[in-house]
Amino acid sequence: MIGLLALAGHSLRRRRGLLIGLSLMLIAFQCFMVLTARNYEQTGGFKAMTALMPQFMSQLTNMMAATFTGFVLFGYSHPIVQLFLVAMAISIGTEPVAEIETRFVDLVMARPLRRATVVVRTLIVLLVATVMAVGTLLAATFVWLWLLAPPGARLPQPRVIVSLAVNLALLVMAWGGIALGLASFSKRRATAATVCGFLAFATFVLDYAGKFWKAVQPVSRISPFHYFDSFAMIGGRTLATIDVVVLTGMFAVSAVIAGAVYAWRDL
Amino acid sequence: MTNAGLAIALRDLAKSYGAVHAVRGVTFDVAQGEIFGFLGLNGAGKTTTIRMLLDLLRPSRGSAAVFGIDCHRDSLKARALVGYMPGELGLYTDMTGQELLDLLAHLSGTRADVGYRLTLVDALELARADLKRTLREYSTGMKRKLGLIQALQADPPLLILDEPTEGLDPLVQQALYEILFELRRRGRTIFMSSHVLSEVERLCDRIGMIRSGEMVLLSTVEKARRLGGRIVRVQFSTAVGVVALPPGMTLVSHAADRWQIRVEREIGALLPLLAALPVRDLEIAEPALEDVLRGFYREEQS
Repeated sequence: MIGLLALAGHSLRRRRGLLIGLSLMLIAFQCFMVLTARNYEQTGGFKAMTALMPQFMSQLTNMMAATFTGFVLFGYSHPIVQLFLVAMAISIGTEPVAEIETRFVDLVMARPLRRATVVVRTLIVLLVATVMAVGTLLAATFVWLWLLAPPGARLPQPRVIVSLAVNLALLVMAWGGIALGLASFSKRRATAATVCGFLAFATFVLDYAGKFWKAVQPVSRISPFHYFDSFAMIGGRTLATIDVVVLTGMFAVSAVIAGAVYAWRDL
Repeated sequence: MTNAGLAIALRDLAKSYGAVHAVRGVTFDVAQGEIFGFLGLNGAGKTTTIRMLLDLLRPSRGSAAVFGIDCHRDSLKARALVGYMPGELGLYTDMTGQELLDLLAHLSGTRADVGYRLTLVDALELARADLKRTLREYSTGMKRKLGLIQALQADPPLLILDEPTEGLDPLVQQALYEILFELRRRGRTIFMSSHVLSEVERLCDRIGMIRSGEMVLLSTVEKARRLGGRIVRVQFSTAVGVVALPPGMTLVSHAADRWQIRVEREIGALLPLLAALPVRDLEIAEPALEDVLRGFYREEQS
């Protein structure tokens, strides 16, 4: 247990710059979203936006993107936000293979530590980093709304904001688990991270394609992004059980695979 | 030999990567309290064997045990008894030396004995202030010193050192030798791989040589040295022709007035032969371990 905590603490300390930077970026991003929404709300920009919005976009977003609430919460499904969070998860998930590649693992595993400790350490770091990043986004949403929301604007419901944050956190955790699982078969971090990154991009596109193109819809269910339907939630739907189950399942299965492979493989 | 009193026992230990056989059924023991030199050229299988001892690599067959504890089945207990310095140190360069030593002490499950650590720091001539610097500011030699300190700081009963003097200057090498002698005096076992033959000759009680994954020599230093045979150098006062030598003797080189003979048995049979020749001077050189080991190396390269 002491070893596990020491390893997790070491990993988090090494990432503190990245985590603080990511958190600051999310705070700034959410500030930008609230300020922009406030500006549109005060200048009637949302009415013009609604008129100009193509039909497929209206259907996709339940018209919520063209409201103060929808615009503010769009931050949760914005590709940049998802890109950064998934990249963070992949970076954490591939840490064990990086330690094998650099031979840091020789120093660590020459000591009386179970191999599972390295995997559990990674899961702890992933959880802490995800909670910190998404928690910051959540807190920033509430704070900026409290400080910057224009009088009379219809504000998003707290349960919707929390649902989005939880679903986003589950998505990030799932990607961290997938990265950990895939990396356990690899000898090099660059290879594992590239494969995961490509997979993330491909499944992100697949999910979007499934939204617009019925033929692709059944296939898009394999994409983890399919289980984060932010626009449905912005429209008022709360966290769906199926989304929670699938994302948690992806995370759990990947983590178990990683644990089994790391227990068996050469380091 | 039973496992009692053995620090290391390898039995038919092998590791293959597909068709490549990195280690081919290695069997040997290291007794408690001895310094054992593990020799071989690059790629001979030294590091692979060491990494199997630490359960970092899983053997294709055979077994390894430290102090009678199976290195794979009871890996945690086995590793708790070992201090390891890898040949290739993978370090996070954003950590300070102190942070690295503290982290690794935590992972060993021991509270770091700061006094002993600082004794090692001083003995290996690493300035205490250097421990506060990040590892990216460390030279290769400083990193190697830190690698030694992390292996030694828990004062484990078995030390596995993969090329411990690589990158160290002669003064620090000397300091390390003294530390290792002191550890042996206190009953610690040291298993070290090395390329430096003079170092092995000076430090080790026994040596093992691995060549292409197979043990080709396992002996005390003294016995290994004798394998080389003594060299007899004869200087003649006038030119002499080559004559047949008694069995067990080989003419290594010769000129008109000089012979160099390798004598692998008693030297007595040579004396009547020399007595009949115009000998001006005679020198008998004790065999050097380096010469023996170089012979094995040459065989591998050829």
